[in-house]
Amino acid sequence: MCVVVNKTSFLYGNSILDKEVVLSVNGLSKRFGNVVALRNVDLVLRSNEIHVLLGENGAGKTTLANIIYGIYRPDSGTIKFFGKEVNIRSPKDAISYGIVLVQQHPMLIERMTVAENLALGFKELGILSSPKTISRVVREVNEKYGISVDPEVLVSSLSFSEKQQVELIRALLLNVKLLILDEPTTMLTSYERRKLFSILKKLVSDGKSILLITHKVLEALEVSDWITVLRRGEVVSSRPKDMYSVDELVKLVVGDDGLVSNVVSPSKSVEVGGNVLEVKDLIVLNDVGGIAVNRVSINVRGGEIVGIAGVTGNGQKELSEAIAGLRRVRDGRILINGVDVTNKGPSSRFRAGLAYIPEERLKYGVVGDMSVIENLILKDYYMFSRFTLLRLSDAVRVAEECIKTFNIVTRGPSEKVKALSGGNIQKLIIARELRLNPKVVVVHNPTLGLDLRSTSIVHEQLLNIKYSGSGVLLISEDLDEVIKLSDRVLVMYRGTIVYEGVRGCSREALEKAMLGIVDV
Amino acid sequence: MFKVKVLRRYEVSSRFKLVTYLTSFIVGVSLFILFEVLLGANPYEVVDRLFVRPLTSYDDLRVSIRYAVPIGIIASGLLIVYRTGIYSIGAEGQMAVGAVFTAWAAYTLSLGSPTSVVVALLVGVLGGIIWGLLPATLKALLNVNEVLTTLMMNFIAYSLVDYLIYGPWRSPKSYGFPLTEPIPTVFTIPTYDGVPVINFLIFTLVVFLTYVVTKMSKLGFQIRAYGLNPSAAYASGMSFFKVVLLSFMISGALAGLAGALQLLSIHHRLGPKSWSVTEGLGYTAIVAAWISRLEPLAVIPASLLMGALVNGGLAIKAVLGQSEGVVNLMNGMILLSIVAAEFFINYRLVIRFR
Repeated sequence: MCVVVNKTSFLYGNSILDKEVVLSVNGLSKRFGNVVALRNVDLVLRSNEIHVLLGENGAGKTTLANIIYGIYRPDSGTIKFFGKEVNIRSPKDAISYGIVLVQQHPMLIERMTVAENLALGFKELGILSSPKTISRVVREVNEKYGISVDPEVLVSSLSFSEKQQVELIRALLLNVKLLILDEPTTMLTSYERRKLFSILKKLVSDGKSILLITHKVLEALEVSDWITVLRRGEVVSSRPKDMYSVDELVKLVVGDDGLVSNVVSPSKSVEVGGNVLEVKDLIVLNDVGGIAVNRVSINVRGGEIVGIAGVTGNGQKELSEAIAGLRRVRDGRILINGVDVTNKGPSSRFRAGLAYIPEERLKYGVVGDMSVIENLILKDYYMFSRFTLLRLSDAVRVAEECIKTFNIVTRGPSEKVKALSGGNIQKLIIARELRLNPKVVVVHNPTLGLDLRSTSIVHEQLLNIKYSGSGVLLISEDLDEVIKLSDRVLVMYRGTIVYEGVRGCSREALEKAMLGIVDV
Repeated sequence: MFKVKVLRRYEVSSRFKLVTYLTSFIVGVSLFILFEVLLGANPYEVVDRLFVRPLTSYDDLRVSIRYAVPIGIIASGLLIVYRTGIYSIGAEGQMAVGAVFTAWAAYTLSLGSPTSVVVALLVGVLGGIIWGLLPATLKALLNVNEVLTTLMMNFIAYSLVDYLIYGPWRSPKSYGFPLTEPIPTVFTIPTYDGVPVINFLIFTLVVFLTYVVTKMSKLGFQIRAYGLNPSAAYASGMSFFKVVLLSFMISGALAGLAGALQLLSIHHRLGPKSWSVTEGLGYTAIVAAWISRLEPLAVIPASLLMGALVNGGLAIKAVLGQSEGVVNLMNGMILLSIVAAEFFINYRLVIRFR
């Protein structure tokens, strides 16, 4: 420890170390049952810095943030805020100290305006409580930090990144001193991400401190002043950003044993077969009765990956749910492997050869209170029975194989799925869907929130589906992912397909199309 | 002045849950005792009549078991619908209609000794199933709230019984009372020294079968998936229609069976209100099902406990000359306390004095 400090002061002339310490975490440990989530974690966060907490899924980043924010209590260890030891027992306590956590998914009421949403949090402030006053304050904040959110509009009409900015404004109105952001960029386009980072930099220069949680190495290097790497619940490194190289940082994050070469080599050629998924003139409504998908036609053939790119909220969710049988079709037809399944239930689609990997994993993908093994056989449980009685013991071998092939980190096949990390839940869903040898796989944001290793496993598996002669419809907000994997790319904008490109088409044209700009 | 804040609990241990549930049960019973005391009863006598005698004296225990068996059979069925995430309160009506169907079989069919009882029981089972079909179909097809429909069906069932006992089935020999003829003796199920031994054996068989269905069968797997996450269960291809219909049918069948058994072994005839076959046990079974925490094997002690409490409650009512509502009052207080326990498991109250 001593050596590191000396080296740092040598390199930085003490300028960084002279800054005031905002948050210092000492010897923090937390167990969940038998699982050690955090072991003896130390963290020092200084004023006016963006401190990135970097690590893979399940490394303990979110647990640490939740402890600082008072959602969990630590088993041992202390937290000091501006030099004073604090006992944070609930998010309310945290907020009273000036610590605010912005969750991965904004917690806003869709049918209220931005100002009304913000007014909800401010009973105590009295003078600020009317939405009108709030609107004025929001405009001031907008101007100061370069945010552009209209306080008078309904939250439901905002994009994901705008909703996130509303959360930032809320934090600012709460007089935040330390802002914690949990994976803020997973749903953002590259443009939106750059905008967010410029806002964060303005906040820091205005005297706030930021703890930013991410699993993306390049992002950490792009935005941070200081990086702390967590691996399996322990701090493996904590230094100023400039003292890391990319390669070193990747090694620190993944660990010695887990280094994966980027196996994806999409160049391997496959023979393209007949149509496995046909969507014809599809019209689908959204939750409030508006047209979300407007006369969309898509063909996916065996042996190809068709990507659908687009900014969140342009009908991708409704499209994927309609194909999976979770949302009624207003007009048009859906054929899976030649079978017309329009407005039939999910089971008929599954029998026709559809596998579905949903965006909302916890809602549609798994039953959290059931075990790993039960979730792995959620669709074909009836294959594991004798005399109508279920024989889970027959499925143990299958489950263990899935756990091994897909590298699912779990204490065993009988562990409850809700105890798994997000990435491992996704691997479990993919394992279940692919085990059934589907003819066509519809995936929506398959690597959202996943770390490097899990992402590369998922990508490899999607390519394997293609090589096996089945088709993939890849709906993703991650343009890099779409470009990397797809043979054809469709761009969805306001419910319609506005652009179609083939492998190797220009990224710029796709990005423009995503914003609705199409050259005729 | 003081201020109360409600804060969410983020981690809850299973031991804390157990302690909270037990405490809530005791609180519910205590509230009832307090209520009795306010009505002028001696608290020692209430506790003695409510708990001690129904579980210790032989004479009282026999009666407690007579209540416990139908409660347990119905609760076994209810725990299956509750596990599916359906809140049916229609067991009372299904039980009554089961008894009506069985009475019809006993009055019209002429069969030999053991077959007659078996056929009458099966007809009663059918009655229970039929009475659950309307709410079940409405729920399965249109997602109509089952709490309302099942409750309505209970009142229709009561009216059906009233129509029969005041009308076509009224016995000419009942001195003007609205009672039906006793069923032919070939249809009766014997009790031994007042203990319904055969019914009890059927009850244990039901518990065993419920255990197999919930824990080991394919249907049990679907039920669990639907109860824990309906969206994921639907998305993975399990039929909502089938699961809802089947769990409703099982619960209706068992309620009908309970009504049939009570008619054939205890009551032998249909009657109004306090002479009715159901005696409100279809509602008591709801409490028993929740006390068991929806675990099939725990239904046995839970129903014995509720059987004893019903017995004790009726004794208090008789001794203190109180109204019909006493047992319902007790049921309600215990159920409310158990529901409240759910709140205290998920939230904690912080009281700050100023």
